[in-house]
Amino acid sequence: MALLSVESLRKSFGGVHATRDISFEVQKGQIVGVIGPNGAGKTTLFNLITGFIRPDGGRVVFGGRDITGLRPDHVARLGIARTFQIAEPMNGLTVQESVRVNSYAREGLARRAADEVAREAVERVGLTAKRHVLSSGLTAAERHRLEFAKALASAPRIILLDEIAAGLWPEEQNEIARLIGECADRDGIAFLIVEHKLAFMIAVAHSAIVVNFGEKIAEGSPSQVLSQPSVIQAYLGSEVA
Amino acid sequence: MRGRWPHILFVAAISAAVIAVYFSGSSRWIQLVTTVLWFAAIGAAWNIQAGFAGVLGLGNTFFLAVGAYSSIYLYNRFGLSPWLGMWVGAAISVAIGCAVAYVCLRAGLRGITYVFATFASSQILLFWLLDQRWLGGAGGIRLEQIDHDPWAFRFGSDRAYLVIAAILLACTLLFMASIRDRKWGLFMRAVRENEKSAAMSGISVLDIQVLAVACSALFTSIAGTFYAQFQMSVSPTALLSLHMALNTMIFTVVGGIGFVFGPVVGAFVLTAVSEIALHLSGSGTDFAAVRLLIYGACIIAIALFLPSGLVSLAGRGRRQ
Repeated sequence: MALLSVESLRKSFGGVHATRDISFEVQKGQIVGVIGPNGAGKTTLFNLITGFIRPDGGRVVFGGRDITGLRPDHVARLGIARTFQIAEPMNGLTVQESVRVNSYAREGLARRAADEVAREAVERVGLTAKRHVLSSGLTAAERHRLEFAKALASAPRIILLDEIAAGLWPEEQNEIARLIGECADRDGIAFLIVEHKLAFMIAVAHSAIVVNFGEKIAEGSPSQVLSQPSVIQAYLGSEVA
Repeated sequence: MRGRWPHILFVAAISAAVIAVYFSGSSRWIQLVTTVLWFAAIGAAWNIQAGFAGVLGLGNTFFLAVGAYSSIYLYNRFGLSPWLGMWVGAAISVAIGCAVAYVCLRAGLRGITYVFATFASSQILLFWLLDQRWLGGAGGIRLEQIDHDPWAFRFGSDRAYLVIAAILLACTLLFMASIRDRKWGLFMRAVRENEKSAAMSGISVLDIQVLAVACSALFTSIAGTFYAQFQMSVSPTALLSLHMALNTMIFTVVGGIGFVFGPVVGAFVLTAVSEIALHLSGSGTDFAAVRLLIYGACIIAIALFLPSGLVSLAGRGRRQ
């Protein structure tokens, strides 16, 4: 049984078909990439899965349970974590506090235990030295790592990464890629990654789906899908990172 | 206790000032500081919803009025001690506060629209009270002058009210300090920072916002009961005016929204500015405008140069 199963998901905003009959699966410990040009409907897909938007049709099944239309906080507590693209998520909180918020998503954790979970997640991403720094005082790469630590702290079974490599130098990208691989192999965490940096995608993902105009137009290994004519055409004019 | 020295010094300084005033024997000073402590208390109560949870409402005068009216009415009609009556007022305030907050926030009202909606709720109460003859209508209700009767919340000397106001403020601040780093306080602050991110962290955003309003309503209502006993009267126009509504927030905003001591700093500083301006401008009514000008200029200056409030003077990057 697949960990996450998206079945014939549909969403329109007025006359715009943001998502047209998209179906795919993510297995436990699998890293699946979602690629496509801007406006293809990738973020809408994430919003549909995590409950920020209700679909017009189709289902989202997680761990055998229909989670279609559940509220985001409910989805989060069921074990789906998600990072956001926004630059400064929680300015007034320190790194430790920000991550501790997510620790409480695990059932029945007391203050001390939540603190410990947060500390471990912060250490995993290498931000221990900046634990008590306000989130607003971090560099872009550090903010991405903070988002990652938050995701880890909630003990997720799958993490949805929204352009986690954006604005990062190659060394920083490698570090994130290594972290993702480690979480998948060691902890069995699945990943669904939206990414524009295709080289990053090829390096990290086990398989990928390509989305254009709300439709899935290809599926397979990253290098496979990127050599398909329909995919190249969809990307015509955009640069490979 | 790392990094706690500024807080300890501040509490010590304020306590020393209050104690000095207590023994000063000056009725004027005692009443003035009692008022300052009361403003700090209602500012602190507002700080729970606005500073911690980011719910910027302007309807807390509703709770002031409920707390004030219920205690006075229950005492006059049934002889119920205000020490008990305050809990009746608090219960009503919390219930209605939660209902209004839930409806408005669920509807997606935020920022200025939420301000208008909550202020409107207080005006609805105002117009309702003006029509209720059993509650005194526009004239309100007065308390009979009696001597010392602690159980009836009446004290022979002003000093007792000073002490009670100090305790009220202390309780509110202690509450805030205790929840701030615990789960609920942390959840509130996360919601303030970013609702979407907080939701994705597993927080039930609306529940937390309503919880913050409930806490705010509780402390504000009790402060309202104190007000009624201190003033020995209640009237709808005094309690539910725009002026009073602004008073529930201005000291907190100037002092530092989100900081536990913000309202205290704001209340003391702004009152000091107001009193100094009064002295400088003379006591004739011609000069009343000058006093307002100075007061207003200070507020504008702080808004421009210290947008995080006066507390930010104590050091950059202090955590909210």
